[in-house]
Amino acid sequence: MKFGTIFSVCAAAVAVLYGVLFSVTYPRVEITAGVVALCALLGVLTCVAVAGLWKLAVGGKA
Amino acid sequence: MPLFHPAIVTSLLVLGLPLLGVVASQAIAANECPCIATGNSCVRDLACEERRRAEGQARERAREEAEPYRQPGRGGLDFDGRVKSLNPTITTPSATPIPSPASRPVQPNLDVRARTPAPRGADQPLALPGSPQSGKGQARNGSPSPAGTAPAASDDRPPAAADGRSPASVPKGSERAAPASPRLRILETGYSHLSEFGKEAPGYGLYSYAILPSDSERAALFLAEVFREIPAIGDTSAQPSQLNIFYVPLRKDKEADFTAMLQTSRGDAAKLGAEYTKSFYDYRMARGLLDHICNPPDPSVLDLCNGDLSRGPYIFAYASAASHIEPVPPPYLFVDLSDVHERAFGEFLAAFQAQVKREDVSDQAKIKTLRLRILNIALTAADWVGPVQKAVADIARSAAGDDKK
Repeated sequence: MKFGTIFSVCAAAVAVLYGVLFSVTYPRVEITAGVVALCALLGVLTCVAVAGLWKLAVGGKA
Repeated sequence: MPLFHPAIVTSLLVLGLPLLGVVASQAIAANECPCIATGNSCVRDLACEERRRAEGQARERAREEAEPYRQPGRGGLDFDGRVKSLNPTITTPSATPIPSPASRPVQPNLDVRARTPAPRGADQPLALPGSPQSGKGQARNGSPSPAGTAPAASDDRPPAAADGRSPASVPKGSERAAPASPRLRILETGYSHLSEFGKEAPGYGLYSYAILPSDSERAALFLAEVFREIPAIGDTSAQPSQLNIFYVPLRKDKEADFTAMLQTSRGDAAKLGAEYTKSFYDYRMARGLLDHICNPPDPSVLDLCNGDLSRGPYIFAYASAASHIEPVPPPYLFVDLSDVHERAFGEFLAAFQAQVKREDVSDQAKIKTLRLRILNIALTAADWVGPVQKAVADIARSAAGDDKK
């Protein structure tokens, strides 16, 4: 599978995880489009960071 | 992947720095002593901690010496669990038996009037501030009074000054009270309306006030959350001495209109909040309450009082009715929601309700938390993400349009 596909899937999964964590932690707060977008952005950033660390740790040896 | 490394660095910075900042500020707040760096680790500075502890004890001793009124058993106003003679308006459960919820008539949902605490019998005196405690037999003017006579509700004032105030600066009517019983734990919060200064119903465990300096969108959202999150005082089931009554100032000339509006709104909190801020909220009374707190201000609210006080909303909680006390002696709970995102009001109100159940009501331990700080940052960031997303989409669209041409 291509790197881009795996990256997108992982980013979406992490974004959903962030959203779920947010709604569980703050049950009285309404989930708006802004919160969803923020979760998506954080999901992408997290995956970029993880991929970068992975490249540094494993990719460098190859 | 020449672009990948800058991307890694940027994302790590974006994620790491705010997280580090929040964690560091929380750690500093929790412990004023910095740790000693030893190589890669950080060791607690025990000497510094010991020094801080000694300083704290010295401060405590000095305060106790300077404030005879706040010593245990002398009717002080300290919320702290160490001083159990907190609220002079409260007597022991045995001294003031309140009918159980089952024996009280069920109140309708829309009844938001303050519930009058159960009447005290002749053998069950209500220990109001500055009034004789049961068995003391000394009235405020020194003349003996018949045991068990409950003073008028208008005498509901705190008994003593605090924080080293001279007797001259003691609020009117504040006199040394006789030993009081331990403060009962607050079990519930219920809202009610306050249509006049000093007209609070006596006998409640805690008195809170929703203070809105002016009519605004934020004020409407805050009141909507109040009506959504907090039940009317008539719907609560605890005895009054274990209730926190949350007063929302109401214009006296609009009381009748408000009752009619309650019928028409049919429990729609958003509509109720909007209408209330527009037509019914008594902003003059709210500003008067702020004046009481800030004239002169306690050091804990000095910065706030020196500001413009025009934003809000604010929540003020006190052991006794505070609308007619000037100055209001500490300790009290003053929550400033000026920097709080509107959508976080519900969480903050829930935290406030949890805070008033604590032994030390004034410490804000449930309000100044990392959880609520992150929520505030997240909601503010969420407000920014939307427009940025739209702007990026517009730029991409216009760039694509140029390419087609």
